[in-house]
Amino acid sequence: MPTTCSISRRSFVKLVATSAGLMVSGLSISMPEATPEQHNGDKLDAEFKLFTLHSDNSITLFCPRSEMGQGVMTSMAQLLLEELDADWSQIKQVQHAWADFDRFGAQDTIGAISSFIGWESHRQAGAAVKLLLRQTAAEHWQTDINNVSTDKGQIKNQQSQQTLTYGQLTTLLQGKDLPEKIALKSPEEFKLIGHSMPRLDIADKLSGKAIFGIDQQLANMKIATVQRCPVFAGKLVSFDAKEALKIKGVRDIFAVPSGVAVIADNYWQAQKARKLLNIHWDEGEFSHQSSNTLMQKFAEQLNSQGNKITDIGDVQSRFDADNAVHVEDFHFPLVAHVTMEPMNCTVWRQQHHCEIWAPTQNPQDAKRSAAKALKLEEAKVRVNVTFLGGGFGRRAQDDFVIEACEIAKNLDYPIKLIWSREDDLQHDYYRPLNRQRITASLKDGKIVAWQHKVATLSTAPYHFSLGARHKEDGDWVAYGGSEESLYQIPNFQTQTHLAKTPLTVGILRGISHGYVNFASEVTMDELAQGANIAPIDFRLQHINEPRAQIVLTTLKDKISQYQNGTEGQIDSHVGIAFGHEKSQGDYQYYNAAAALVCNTPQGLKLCKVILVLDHGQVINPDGLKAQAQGSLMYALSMMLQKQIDLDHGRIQQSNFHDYPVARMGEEVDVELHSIGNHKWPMGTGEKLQGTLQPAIANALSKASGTRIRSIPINLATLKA
Amino acid sequence: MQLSINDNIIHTELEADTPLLWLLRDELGLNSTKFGCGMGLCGACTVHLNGQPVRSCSLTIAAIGNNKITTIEGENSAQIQCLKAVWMQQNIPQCGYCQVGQLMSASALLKQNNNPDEATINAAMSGNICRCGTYVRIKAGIIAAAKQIRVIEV
Ligand code: FES
Ligand code: FES
Repeated sequence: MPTTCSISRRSFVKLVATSAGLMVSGLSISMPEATPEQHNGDKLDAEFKLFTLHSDNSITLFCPRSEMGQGVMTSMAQLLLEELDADWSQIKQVQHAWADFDRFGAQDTIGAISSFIGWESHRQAGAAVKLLLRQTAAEHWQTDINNVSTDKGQIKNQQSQQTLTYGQLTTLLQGKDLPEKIALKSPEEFKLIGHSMPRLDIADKLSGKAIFGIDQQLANMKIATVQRCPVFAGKLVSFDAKEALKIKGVRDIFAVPSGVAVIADNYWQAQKARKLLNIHWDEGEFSHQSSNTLMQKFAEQLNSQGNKITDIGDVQSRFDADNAVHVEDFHFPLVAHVTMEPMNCTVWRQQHHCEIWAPTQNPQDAKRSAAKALKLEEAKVRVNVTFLGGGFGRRAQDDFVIEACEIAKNLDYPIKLIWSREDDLQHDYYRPLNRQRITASLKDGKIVAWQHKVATLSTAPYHFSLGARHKEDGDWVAYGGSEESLYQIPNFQTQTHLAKTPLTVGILRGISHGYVNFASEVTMDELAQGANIAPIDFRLQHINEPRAQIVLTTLKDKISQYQNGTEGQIDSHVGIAFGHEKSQGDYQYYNAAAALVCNTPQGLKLCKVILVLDHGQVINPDGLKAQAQGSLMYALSMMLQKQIDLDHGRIQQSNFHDYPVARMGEEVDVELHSIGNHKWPMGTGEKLQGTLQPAIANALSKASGTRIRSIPINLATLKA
Repeated sequence: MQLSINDNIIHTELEADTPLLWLLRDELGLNSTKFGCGMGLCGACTVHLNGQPVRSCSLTIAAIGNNKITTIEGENSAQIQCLKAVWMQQNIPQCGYCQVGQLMSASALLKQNNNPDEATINAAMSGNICRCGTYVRIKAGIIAAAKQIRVIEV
């Protein structure tokens, strides 16, 4: 998702005493050997917006983005330390940030934005301090700045051969102005960027020191749970808490806007009491709706004219002139995020201010919404970000933070709201249910017209960003990707039908690209077949973007050994797909995947995936690989397991028994090829669903002869 | 009620039907053991009962009796140490939320079998969900840790 971010880098160096209490500690890794102080150290540390340089030459980093497994703490550290010319061993700890636009700039961790923004902000932050250190050292040594060089956290006077550590200069930095607009290193000079650095958060995640939202502890804290109406937008009529209050440990039961809150000493007591609540709901109109009725409505809508988002040339006259290929509709069910850590939030409402600990991907909007719920000025609310046990877009929403605030504002002690897995599955912000129709016409092996119609649930009422909520923009995440194509097609049209319902929907790993690119790429295969051209060649014939061409030709090369139908001794079928985004400016990436499906005695099986990426400069190659591996497992869960069904206005699934996910034994590895360039970097964790999934679908279609137009797929019924 | 947790005797007044997980997390502050489903389906809450992996969300404190409970805070075996070292070297965790449960299942497996084949690993580990999808690395990690264990044991 394109976004802009302006961070004022102009700031004065602020000195803080070493003993000043550090805020929420994200982690601490073992201290590097301390460098003995050479000046009569008054132990002052220099604090900058993104890090603190300690007088012992160690560094505390602040990670402005949410760490949810994508490795952002590590990749941001690489960007910053690269330009600072600091040594990796100087990192003493990484602290999670708190919501603070003035200090950290935009903090929402969505849309693969961290690397995209950090590429500028973190490198500039490092470079500015490095230059200031050089200037300061030059003054100190009374020499020209050109005689002063830096390396691994040391400054050297090239003439006198004297050296100082960065830490020894902290006191001299006092009151100095940070330089702006610094020239950055060229890629040949990179020592950290492009290298697989060890993840900074792993040690604490193994020792148990890492604090996820659900681990937050405070003195006198109680546990809260909420019973919500199972039907979306249902209303509370009345409740009887008599039996529930008899449960040992239960402190309080009261109504909140989202339902009935139960507060107890521990989670088990609160859950037990919750089940005894005698609640009367007004389930309302939506209790007559189901996935089927919504899908039926979408089918009817697709027969009529929708809202034209894009209209280039004249698709209709081409369809009349050439034989248009109507393909069957694609349909996609609701999908739940299922982060491993259920939603939770800790709130301590004091008389005039409030402190919040939240595993959120969107701390600044969470803060705004919390202030509103608490009726406090924003300045009186602090939102601390914890580790996130998975995000996938779910934690960009503010609902669980608001709910915790609505509870805490009635209480004079801190509470930790914990959702059960059932709450998590039944009150998610699902990937929208949708149905799509693509019509295209071919002439002489070329696509001359393409019409993509998308009927989907509207995301605008629930958009994670307060700036886009209830706005037209807020629907882009429901159809984005269908409104443009990299394929050169002279007549191109996109239409949408957007249904506003009380069912909460939102962004899920890859937003709408996950399903609109699925439909487009399956259609591309169908058209290639119609044109009798190999799928990769057919795509290449329609693309003139050089970065995309390199990705596709690389994939073609990598799969050539599998094309004759065998992988080892096993019959295999190769399916491919291409994915990209290209916004104005540097927000662009290109990727392509090939899936190998094998015939085994147990039936069809995905045995391998080959992935070629051009997401610009790779910051941490091993981290990139991990994201590709994880994305594939996420795709397999979504494609080969079960779906989320709405019936009678409520979600039918409740836990891992009826909404299973991929487990050990179902894993498939990714062979990853990264195009080595130094273009503006883009994250990857979010960007692969719309490529991996249609590649797998196309391979299964080849193997079975059945075109795949919806998920989940029942492999057992697909005949080889 | 008295329980042995990490070789300490714990006294608790909690109701007998309380799952062990909530005693650990909400009363003892042993937060490494995670909550993921509450139904014995995800393995995030895995601890050892006399060395055997059990799901603490589905084990009431009354059912523990004189058996010894070990959480990762009290698990110091060679197996867990090798596993943790490999987990670091191979950057296995992503969000990390499931990983303590994974390690507890893996250490119980390696204590039984220091050379597990793939089917054995699948059987021992398929109760532990990882939504970040780290399975390929976990499997390779267990195989690597088993190798180290075999060297130590020789
Ligand atoms: S929380 Fe115990 S198995 Fe999921
Ligand atoms: S590492 Fe995130 S759930 Fe396993």
